[in-house]
Amino acid sequence: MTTFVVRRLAYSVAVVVGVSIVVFVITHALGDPVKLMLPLEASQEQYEHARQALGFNDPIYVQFLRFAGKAIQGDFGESLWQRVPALDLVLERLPATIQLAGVAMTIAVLLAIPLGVLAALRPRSWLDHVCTFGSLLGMCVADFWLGLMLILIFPVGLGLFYTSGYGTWQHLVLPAATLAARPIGRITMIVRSSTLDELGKKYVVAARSRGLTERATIIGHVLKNAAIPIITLTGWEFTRLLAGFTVIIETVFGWPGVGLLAIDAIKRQDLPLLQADVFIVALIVVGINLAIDLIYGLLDPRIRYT
Amino acid sequence: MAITEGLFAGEVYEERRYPLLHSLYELLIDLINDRVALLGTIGLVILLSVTLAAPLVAPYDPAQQSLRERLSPPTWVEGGRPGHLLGTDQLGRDVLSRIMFGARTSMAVGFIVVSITACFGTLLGVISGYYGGKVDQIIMRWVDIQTAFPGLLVAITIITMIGPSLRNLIIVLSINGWMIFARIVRGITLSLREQVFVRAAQVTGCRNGRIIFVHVLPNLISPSLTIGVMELARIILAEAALSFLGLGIQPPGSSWGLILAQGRDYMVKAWWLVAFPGIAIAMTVLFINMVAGWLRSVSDPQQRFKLKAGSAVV
Repeated sequence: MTTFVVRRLAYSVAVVVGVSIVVFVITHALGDPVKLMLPLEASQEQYEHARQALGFNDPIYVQFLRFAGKAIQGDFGESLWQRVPALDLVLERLPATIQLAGVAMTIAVLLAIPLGVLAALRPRSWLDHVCTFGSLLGMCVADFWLGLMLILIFPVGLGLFYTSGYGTWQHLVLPAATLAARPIGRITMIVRSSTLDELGKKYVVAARSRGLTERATIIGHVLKNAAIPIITLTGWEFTRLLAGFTVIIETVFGWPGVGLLAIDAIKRQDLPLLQADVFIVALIVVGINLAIDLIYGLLDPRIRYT
Repeated sequence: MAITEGLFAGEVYEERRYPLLHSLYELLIDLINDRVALLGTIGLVILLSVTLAAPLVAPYDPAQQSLRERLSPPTWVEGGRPGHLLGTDQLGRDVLSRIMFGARTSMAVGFIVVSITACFGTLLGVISGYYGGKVDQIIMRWVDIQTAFPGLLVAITIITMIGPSLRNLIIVLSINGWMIFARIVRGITLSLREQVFVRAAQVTGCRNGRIIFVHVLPNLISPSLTIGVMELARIILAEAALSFLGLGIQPPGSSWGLILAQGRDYMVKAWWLVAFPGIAIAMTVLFINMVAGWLRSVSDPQQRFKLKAGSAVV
């Protein structure tokens, strides 16, 4: 078990290092950060001076080590836009994103698991067909489009909820519902197929013939065995949401989270902020993946030995 | 048709004059019987035809502006004009034509990116699976690390630095998409390596390159096709998202994502500017997923061994 944990930990660290290298290389090597930082009227001489003073003429690995050293201490530099430490801006916006993703996943799980189980229990029924088609649809629809449509139907058409903003649950409903669409689809499908697999196994026949009620069989035996892929998938969907898809929804609904912050940083060419944002999000995503892997290892002993 | 006996006791099969044609014929019968897949395939065929024939089929030139007719609703809504079935946008451009032409860009990006990722991913997967050892370890570690990246964010960062354009969009989407091919192809190659026909080829002295090309790769076509179709759907959605954010196709080009972004400003007065492109995206992705589902179920028994995906979650 310890080797398993240590290996996963080492892998997570490698990913974080990898992401920071990639982010660093992208921002420093592909573009020209100094030009972005100086006002337009800066002369060539001032440009050269700035390059030297800020250390951009040093070899790239020196720059990277400097960046990494500061990053570990939490110093990502000052945001060019708001003149406060970039990390503070990111951390300030983080709770909003986590709230959005968390609520969306909760809705998804609360809806998807019962639906999936019911669909598995009644294969080929109209409920099963509706669930399958609905899940498929949930996965096929462009999430930003769904957001726009919900905006048209509810606030504009019916006067309910809000088109954008942050604060009350009415602000939260539409973005969370939009974000939840794909996870609902995906999780329902996996719950259904996982439960179907389990229902075909012999212990279910044994439990039923022993006289267990249907409810006891399902909850006590089937679900526990079907849980592993479901939990893993749910964790994956959650990290997927955090890793990028909140960006789109936050843009559509004006939700003040880290995704929207990234877009704002891009619009304003604010590199320190963008670096901080991507790094923090990567850190969180890797952290959650690590937690999922560890939980998976706890639940399924076979994994610990791979 | 002669009945012959196979190698094993009790195995009997009919000899066909044109085995490949017969297999294709059986596939077609299978497709027709599976109504969902049939619907998906018909939908896709119609979609692809319209996309390819857009210059001939579209009722208007998508760039043709007509300020007199701006913001008119679809024909069946009050105030709609008979010529514009799905209405016009803020510059008087016909929505239906714009959607048809936008389809060309979106589908083109999808196919190009999937081709690139399939080639690159399959190549790495085969090398990793066939040669094994250190090479396998390194490649799979790279796959794992890149899979764990927050893809959309990194894509956004890259596009910020190198500028949004069609070419950069393709580059970024390709960088993000090859890993699944590598992983699955590696799994299959690992199983194939142990098969009798590969061993036989090795024993008779065939070079590794020949074995890979002649024996391993043909068996990879079917799973790669299945994955490729699923990835096509995902890439079309990703392209729409990036274009919507302004980081993908730029005007004057058009793609569904861009049309949605442009329509968003007028959305409240003109819901049709946002509804129809989105429906087009959803239908396309739906059809593709229907066909992908069928391909998946068809290729499994044909492989005659289980696909090991290499990751816990499909």
